[in-house]
Amino acid sequence: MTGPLAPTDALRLEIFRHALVGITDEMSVTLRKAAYSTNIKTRLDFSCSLFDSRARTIAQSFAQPIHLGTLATFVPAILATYDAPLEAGDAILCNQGHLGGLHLNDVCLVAPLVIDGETFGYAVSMAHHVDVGGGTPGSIGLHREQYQEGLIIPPVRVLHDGVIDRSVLAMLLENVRSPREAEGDLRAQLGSVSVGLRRFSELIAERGLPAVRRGIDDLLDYTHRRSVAAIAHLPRGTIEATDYLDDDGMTDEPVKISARITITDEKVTFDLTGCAAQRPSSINTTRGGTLSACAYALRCMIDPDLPINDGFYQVIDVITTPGSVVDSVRPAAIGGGADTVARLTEVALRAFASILPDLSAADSKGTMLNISFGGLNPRTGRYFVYYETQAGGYGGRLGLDGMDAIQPHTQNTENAPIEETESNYPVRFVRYELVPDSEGPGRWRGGLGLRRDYVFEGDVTFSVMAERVKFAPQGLLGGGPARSNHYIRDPQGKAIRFPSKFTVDVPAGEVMSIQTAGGGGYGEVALRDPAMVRADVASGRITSARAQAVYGVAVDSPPSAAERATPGSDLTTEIQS
Amino acid sequence: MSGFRVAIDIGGTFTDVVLIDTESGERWTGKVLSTPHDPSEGFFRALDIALELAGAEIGACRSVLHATTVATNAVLTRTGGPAALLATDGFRDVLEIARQIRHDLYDLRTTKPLPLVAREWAFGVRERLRYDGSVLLPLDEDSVREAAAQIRDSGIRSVAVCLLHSYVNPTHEQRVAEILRDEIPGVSISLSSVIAPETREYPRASTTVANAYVGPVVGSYIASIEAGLRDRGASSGLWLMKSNGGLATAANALERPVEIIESGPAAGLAAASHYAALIGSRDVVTLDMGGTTAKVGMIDDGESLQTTAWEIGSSAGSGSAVAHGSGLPILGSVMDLVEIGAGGGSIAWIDPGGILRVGPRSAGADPGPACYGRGGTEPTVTDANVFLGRIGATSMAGGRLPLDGAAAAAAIGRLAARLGVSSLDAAVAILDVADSAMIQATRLMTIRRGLDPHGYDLIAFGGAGPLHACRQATALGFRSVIIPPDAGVLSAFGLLASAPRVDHRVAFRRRIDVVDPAEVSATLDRIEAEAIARLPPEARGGDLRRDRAADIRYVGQSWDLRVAIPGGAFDAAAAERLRADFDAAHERTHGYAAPTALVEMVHLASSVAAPRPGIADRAVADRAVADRAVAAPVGAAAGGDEPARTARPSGSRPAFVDQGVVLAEVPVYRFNDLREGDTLAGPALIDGDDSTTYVAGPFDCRVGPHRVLHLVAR
Repeated sequence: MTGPLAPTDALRLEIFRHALVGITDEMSVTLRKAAYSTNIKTRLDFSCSLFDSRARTIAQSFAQPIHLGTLATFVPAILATYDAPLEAGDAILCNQGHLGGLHLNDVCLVAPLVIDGETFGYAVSMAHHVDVGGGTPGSIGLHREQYQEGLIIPPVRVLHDGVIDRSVLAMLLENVRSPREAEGDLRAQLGSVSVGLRRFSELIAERGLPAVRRGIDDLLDYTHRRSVAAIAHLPRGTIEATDYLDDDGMTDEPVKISARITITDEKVTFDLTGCAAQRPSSINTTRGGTLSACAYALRCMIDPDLPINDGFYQVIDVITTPGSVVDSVRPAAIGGGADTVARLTEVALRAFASILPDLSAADSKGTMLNISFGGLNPRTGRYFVYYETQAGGYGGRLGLDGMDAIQPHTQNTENAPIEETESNYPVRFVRYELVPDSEGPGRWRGGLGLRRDYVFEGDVTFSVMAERVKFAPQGLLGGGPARSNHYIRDPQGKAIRFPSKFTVDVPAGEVMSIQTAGGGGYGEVALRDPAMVRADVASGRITSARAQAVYGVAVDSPPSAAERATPGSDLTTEIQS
Repeated sequence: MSGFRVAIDIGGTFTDVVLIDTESGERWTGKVLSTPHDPSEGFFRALDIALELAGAEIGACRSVLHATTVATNAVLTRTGGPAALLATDGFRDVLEIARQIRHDLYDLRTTKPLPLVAREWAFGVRERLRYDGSVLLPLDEDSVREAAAQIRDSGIRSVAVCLLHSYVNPTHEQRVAEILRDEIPGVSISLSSVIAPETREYPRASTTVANAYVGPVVGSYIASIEAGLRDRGASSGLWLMKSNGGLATAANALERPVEIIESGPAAGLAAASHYAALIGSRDVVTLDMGGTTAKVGMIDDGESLQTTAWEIGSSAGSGSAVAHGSGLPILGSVMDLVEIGAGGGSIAWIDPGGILRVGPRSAGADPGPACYGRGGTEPTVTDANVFLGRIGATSMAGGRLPLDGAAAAAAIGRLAARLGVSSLDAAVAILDVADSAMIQATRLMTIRRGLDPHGYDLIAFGGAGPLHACRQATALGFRSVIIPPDAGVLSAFGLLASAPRVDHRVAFRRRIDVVDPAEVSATLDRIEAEAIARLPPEARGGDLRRDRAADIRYVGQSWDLRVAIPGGAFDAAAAERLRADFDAAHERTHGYAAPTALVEMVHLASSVAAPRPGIADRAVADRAVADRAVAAPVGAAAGGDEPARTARPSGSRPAFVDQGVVLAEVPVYRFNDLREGDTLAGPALIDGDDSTTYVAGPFDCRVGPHRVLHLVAR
């Protein structure tokens, strides 16, 4: 760290930062517009960054918090592994997830900015390609080892002197199910980094090399100083929390996720050596995914407005055991690691809650909640596949109930509209509504889970890759647990419940009901304002029976309009599988 | 046809008025502080000032035009309604679930936007349509009556109805409306199949509910304005600006109050379009910087750029794009704007890392910036401009709002002390930070859409726009900066340059290679007739502008592009042409086309607009003013037929000049002294009645026809 900034320099830093972030924003727009894959265009599953010559992140643009730690891990690892001089007009391609991506679908492109023969920095874009080959269409499925998940690309030079290496491209395209999309997405990434390089050199031409170099140092120093100042507000010491994933999908054995967090003057250390060993299943994640979880949790605790660059990452230390679920090594499969990232995030937040309860939230639904189904489409006679993730409840907060039906933490993708989905796929929704009584009770209760019931026009295969059937979201400071996730076939009839990860054949006309978990409660339930309990009954969020039994508040009003207008409610069905 | 027209625009900080003599074009302008507790108070204060300046009677006003934030504020402060929602049974939580996303990713205390209808007033109605509009479950009328009984007993009189797939088949919604009318006397009903007949239930329900929710507030507001006008002896009707830049009668607005939600920004763009046409500029970026926010828009070939997807109440941060999902989606045409929290009233503050930030918090009208002397102590952008001499002590509102330079200096001084710099450095830095945030917004509008600012003129207006425009031009390379006369009250002026217009869009999802052209033709004819029927009766004349279009995408895409459809019958050849036009548009917008991919239409759209009123030429007006020697109307200079001359300053004041942190004696011109053909060189300040223009050092300024200022870098 250099000395403190002259005040006038500090005043102009905000403008310099805008200029750098503006470049990465423009890279994102270029990528998004030119890409072919839905994942990139609408789910915004990508990240664009600028790095300096020492592979330090200087600016980033991304929409999904799960990318908070990916490139910062990936790029230094790629450069170290490639280990050959790069020239102007070169670019390296890599998807070797264990270097820092979330899964093989995350294809990373790194291009150097060379000025007078010297590498000044890098423009980088990483995007989720729809398919990279392997045993499952889309390359994300339940597998035992990475070789089943798709083509593994080590750092290779794909661009030389501004020209694409045809052999590398041919090798890639021959191994994927959708070569047209893959080539389109790769060209979009090349366009994105070339915009980044152009704007970066324009900035240098405008301000001069020394000024930009100093500006970068100042920016990272400023961010670091601000991060340290934010950490200074945290109590010193060590905190910890542990939770378990229901299973790994291959065996029934729960998977331990444990974090021990130590706060010192200039650093926050996440000791994750208590996490389970990696499994022969796709639930493992990488250093990149793990850093995302830790960085997210810390950022929420200290200063959500912190610029995201190396100055911020410097205050985070992550200690893992190589070969564990949070730092898997080859040949571990990693396609479903996002659920481990999601849970590690909640575990870290739980640990922070022990010292910063005022800033914290109780547990949320705590899983990606991947739902997919497919089969022969009776409307067209062709095969169809459909995928979505479903929201759940958010934990209660000091002075605030949890949000109902929301994508929590590292996840933030929109729902598919009913009308559009019914128009495009042979499915009809029977109901899409909040699940009453699913909240974790508390002085500030958790948010409600979400129910989405599907009925199909033809026979389908229906899969869920999720979590939190055995282990429900927990409350905080005396708040109660929420209702867990329920996956129920034929809810009005046989009502068969399933575990967290399953695939089942569902005949036409039969209902599959996905009822997601609520959020945990915050604070003692006895302290909840009875007026708020009555309001929850009036709005149909909780039943009067639950108000009496759990909150001890008698509400002798007739059933609310809501209850009467929802006939045949089976929402309290509890059936053991 | 002699008489006056008067236009009043209410903003977050100021209420602006322009009164025009329809024959001579002579106009009078005024600016008063807004009165958020009762906006009609500011309305009539502004009206009275304009009438007094002009020596006119309200009875001589042929029309009263109004841009209002009353509908917006009702939503933002949740003071509209109460309203109820009827939805398909099993789907009444459509507002609660919304998009299931968080708009603030790192704030564990974030919340979803609060629905406009509380869950207890959202009812399920037993019925179900399939995606193709066929009936799966017939409407259970008793379930409607049950809900109606509860609504009636509660006293709610505004009801939104949004049933699944009603955009394909509205019959269930229509029957629900009949039952509600029978059961609830005096009920006002908003049907989603009428308000926004488009696919995707959440934005459609959100729009329909917003209509039901703002209805009662808009209704009583319009009634109070109309009553006040009647009391003053007005004989003319009240017209309101809609979000799409078209005028509506009070009756139109009561029918679809959701359409006036973005009234104010639309008026500003209407005025900018007017001046763009007058000076013959086809490619324009607009910068409207007022007291609370800065809005960047675009005019393409004379028409302001519009969008059909936006959110009300979305959070706008300084220098960042709007956070998706933070507001409530509203369907319908609206000006496409990037809005950031950087206005004259935006407050400068120091963040935890010791860095200076500006906005998005604003000092508003009360207390206002420190220099207003109304108790504000925090330094704002306006205070920095005053401290740096860019705004003179008597520059504001024609001197009716004297500014307290000492209070501005004190506020800046306190900030400077905390930063450990001189007051001068602090004031310069405030403007730097505000300017750089606006540059980011302007970049979003241009470079991020693949447009090069070098090919565009920047029209700057609003109270603060003309002060900050040169910096935008320098940073982004605009061809020129255009400052219209009355820039400080341009939104009010825009009302005078506007005409009735209706935009209508319906879902029409058909693959273009198999569509029946006759069905397209018939649907276009039908929706055009529906659009015309929604125009005020007096605007349904023969010389309407009629535009038709389709929203189209490649099969599998999530975003569509609007492509114009020429008038006349739509046949097989037209379908082929439309396909080719779409490929070309896609290439232009997204950088590639896929001519062999399948293409589908998503919506058909019709837009009908009455011709815009002519506004008498300014030169004539100026002469008329000079002859009559009326006190203080804007532009009381002599005629415009003299040769170019170098303008003479009326004085000078010490002001900050461009990049150097040095105060210099800068020549000051009075806008009212300038006339067509005058030239002057920067650095210079031009004081108008309602705004000050800052001509930066490297710019030359020429006074063009209509006394438009053209600033071009040397």
